Amino acid sequence: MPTIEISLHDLNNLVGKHFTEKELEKALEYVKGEIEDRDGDRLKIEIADTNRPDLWSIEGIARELRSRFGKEKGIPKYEIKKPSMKVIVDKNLEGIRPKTVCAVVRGLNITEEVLFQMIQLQEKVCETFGRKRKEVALGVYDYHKIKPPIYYKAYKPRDIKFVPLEFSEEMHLDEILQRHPKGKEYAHLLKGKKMYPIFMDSSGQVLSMPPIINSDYTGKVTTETKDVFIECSGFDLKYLIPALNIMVSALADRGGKIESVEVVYPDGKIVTPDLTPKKIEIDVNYLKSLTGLDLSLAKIKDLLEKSRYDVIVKKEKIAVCHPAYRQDVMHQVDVIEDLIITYGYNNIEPIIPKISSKGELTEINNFVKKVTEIMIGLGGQEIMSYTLTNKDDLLIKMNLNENEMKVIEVDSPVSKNWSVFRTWIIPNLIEFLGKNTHREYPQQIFEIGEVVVYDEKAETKARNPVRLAWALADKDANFTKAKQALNFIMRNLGLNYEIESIEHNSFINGRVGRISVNGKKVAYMGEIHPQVLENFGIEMPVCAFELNLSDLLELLKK
Amino acid sequence: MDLRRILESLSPVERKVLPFLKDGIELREIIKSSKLKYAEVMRALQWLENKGAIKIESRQMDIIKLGENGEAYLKIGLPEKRFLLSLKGRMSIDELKKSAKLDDDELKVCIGLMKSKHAINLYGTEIEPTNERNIILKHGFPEEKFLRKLPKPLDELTDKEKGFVKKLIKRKDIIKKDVVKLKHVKLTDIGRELISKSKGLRLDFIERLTPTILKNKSWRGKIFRKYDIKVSVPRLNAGKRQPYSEFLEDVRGKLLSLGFKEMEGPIIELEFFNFDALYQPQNHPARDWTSTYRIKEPKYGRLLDKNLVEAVKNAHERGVAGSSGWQYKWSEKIASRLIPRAHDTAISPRYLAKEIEIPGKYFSLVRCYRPDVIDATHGVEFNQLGGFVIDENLSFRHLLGLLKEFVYEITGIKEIRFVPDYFPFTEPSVQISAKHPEFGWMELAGAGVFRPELTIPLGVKQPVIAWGFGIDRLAMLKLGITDIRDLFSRDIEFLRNARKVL
Repeated sequence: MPTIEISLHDLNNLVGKHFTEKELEKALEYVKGEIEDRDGDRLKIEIADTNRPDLWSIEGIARELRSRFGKEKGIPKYEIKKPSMKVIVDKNLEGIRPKTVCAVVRGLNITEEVLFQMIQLQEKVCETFGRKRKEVALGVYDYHKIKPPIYYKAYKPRDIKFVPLEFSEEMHLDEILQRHPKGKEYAHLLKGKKMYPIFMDSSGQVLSMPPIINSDYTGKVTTETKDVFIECSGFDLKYLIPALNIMVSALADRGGKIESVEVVYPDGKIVTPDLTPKKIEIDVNYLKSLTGLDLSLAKIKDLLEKSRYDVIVKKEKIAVCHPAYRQDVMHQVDVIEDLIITYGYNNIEPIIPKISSKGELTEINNFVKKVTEIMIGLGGQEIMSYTLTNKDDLLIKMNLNENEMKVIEVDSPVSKNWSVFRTWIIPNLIEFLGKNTHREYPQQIFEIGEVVVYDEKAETKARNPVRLAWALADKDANFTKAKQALNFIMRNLGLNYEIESIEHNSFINGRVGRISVNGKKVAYMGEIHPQVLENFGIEMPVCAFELNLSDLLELLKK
Repeated sequence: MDLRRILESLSPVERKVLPFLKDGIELREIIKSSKLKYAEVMRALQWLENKGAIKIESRQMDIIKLGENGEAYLKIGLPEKRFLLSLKGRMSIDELKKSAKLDDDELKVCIGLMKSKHAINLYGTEIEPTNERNIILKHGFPEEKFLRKLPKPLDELTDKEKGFVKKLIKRKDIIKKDVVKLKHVKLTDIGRELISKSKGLRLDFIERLTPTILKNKSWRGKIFRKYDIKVSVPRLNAGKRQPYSEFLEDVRGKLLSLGFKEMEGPIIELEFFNFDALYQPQNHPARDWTSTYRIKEPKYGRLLDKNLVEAVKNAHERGVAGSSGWQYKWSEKIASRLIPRAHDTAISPRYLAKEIEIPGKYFSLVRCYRPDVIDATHGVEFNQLGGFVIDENLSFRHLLGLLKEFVYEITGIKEIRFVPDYFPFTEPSVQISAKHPEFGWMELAGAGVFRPELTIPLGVKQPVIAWGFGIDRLAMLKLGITDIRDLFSRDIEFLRNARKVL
């Protein structure tokens, strides 16, 4: 979720209303925003909507609030002047970074605050909406330092050099990727390319190498700057057009005059930015049934206009136009949500749906409930562990070879402690006992839960059967104790079992068995090997068993 | 308590101890004369004190004990004894030292001591006994006898013994002084009376009811020894639920009572169900809505339902039901990538794509996994409660009603607020805050109406209300836990002492 920093004073000016913190908190609900932090006039606001880059600046937030508080309505009208300059796009960018859309904004009064907001919006749009600059890189330049027309073309790394932002020496393109901090950060976006994209003006001066870095001379906008040239580069106009629209709308809200630019592609030209609103039909019956509100057409129109839509009502049909900085409107539900938000969620009378249905647990959880009762009857203390664990606890300390079981591992785990899924639960119990050696014995514990086992045949290559593990740590803990406990469970379930001797390094040899019911292997049981106990720092004999409840349930159903 | 009652409630061990009690008698004397074990005597005294018969008091006392050398000298004799025994005639000091097995310190002490008693004469490196040697040897060494009596309280020593202490304590590790607390008994009036009444009194009561007594009916006409029912007993650790596990079961029970059917799904999930089937586009910030782990190996699963895959692909690429769609090239490869389930909602499309009851109410309460900082409020593994309600003509108002009912059923809180929120798979979306009587406003749940681009490809035409609760936070409130990791506590003492949550 993007978090942006704003000045409350600036916001009050842009909205034309004085907000107290409490009022602002409520008002921010219109933009799904929440105050994260406040330091005097500075506020950090978190915007929940990751699909509304137009709200990731103070200008965007203020725009929405102006209409909600009756200062404006409908789509904001931005005048766009005819193009006075061209950007010529070279064919050799194909496969490198072939697309750009551009604009000029004039007559800006760039204060420190405006500059801060401009940079913040540029960053948020490129980082979040633009997929860390992959899909969208935005450059803003002092118009008076460049000489149109502008050429967008790919060059070999050693063919040209320029002074990158915040540096004082000219560098070749490959040097920038190796040495400049931004070069290093974003070099992967140009990996494997033989040529790099360059914006250059008609005097041969480099503006920038997108999506990496601007030149230090042209690409530095200051409070002295009045007119700016904006380019937006990437691969897909679907991302570039809204990004540019968002940027120019924000600057227009600051009093800038938008002027379009002719972008000449090898196969034809386009004129950008294009702020023509897009139309979408609203089915009034659908609106009423989705919201559950019986609204008059006039009320609908009013609410939509307050939500910054233009509305055309034709009898029972409504068409709305949404502004060009909105790229999230895909379906009429998007418009309808805005309408309800403006109406106010808390002004809606909730109704409890009358649906008669029968509650039901999953079969396995119903079974787990019964087995838990048996286990409590047995005198066990239930415990609960994470299903994520580590190979050390799961295998190595259990005296098992690391490759003894196929375990499912998480890629780049946050912590090594939680890096693999447990394939059995006894290690959780032993680890638990190891943490309680100073507590009163006997310690009889059990856990019922899912494990994750590899299964080549499964849709997700894994299954998560439910297992029951039980352990007793006591001076008299032995095989008999475990067998008595298991017998108690089996007797309660009305099952008979066979037991066969097996070898298992976690247990003492000759004191471990596998349990089968109707030929199906469902459990193993035994006395835990002293080496395992030593590995977990336990100085008390432990006996344990683990039972596959999912399999048992299948057997019981037959 | 009247005396008779006390007499009838005396346990066997109390009765055994009673005859040995005298005002001011010390614990060790009682142990010695009663021939009972320390623990038994202590237990009896404790109980007698509870009955008001005695008072257990303690006083500090200096005890003289053997030191390390003292213990050795008891076996091999004091150095001066060995010194004199070895010194039979004129000999070199070195030789003497060797044959008497003395170390330098001991030798020095012995020479000094014997010189002061005129038992020796020194000639340079040689030494010669006087007649005094034989007299001393004949007298013997009373210090050795004294050492054998230790440990002993200082104030029980004779003046002569006190003299030994004074001398010996200066020497290395022969004796040492310890301060100990000595317990002794003070009789109360009740106690005195109790002793005199119990003397010769034969109370014919039953200590333990046994099968034999029942069988031969010998209990008839007899009284039972009365217990001190206030006495504390050892703690019992019996079978017990883990509080968080029990809480989750209670939540399940509440959902059952609201008519919800439980759903289940795989822990290792396809991105297809976690994201794509929920209309979260690939390579788009809407997919970053939650951060997600991936599986190291195997990396990809199988997309089994080709028709479903085609329908979802179409919704993403071109849109359905009047939607523009996300307009990009959808990748089956990305959709078949495996991840640990990042949210419970991943289960819903699996059910919606199958046969479900309409109208119907469904829920799941499952483990979910996300890479997150691990601290008191975040974990990489947690439980989520969520589900959906499906019916013809369900509206946003129903959604709000449903949530209000939920919050009340699960938390008992009536004061709630709805706040607009964003989830990539619902529109409209809402977050529910509830006013907790103690902690104030808190976010409890998220909900919304599933987007048509999600439901139509799954073959569902009716509106579907989706909802989810952060159940771990609720559990923390309910269980009075401030660190989320304690939900999975590793401390058996905490679990044994945990209070039942109603």
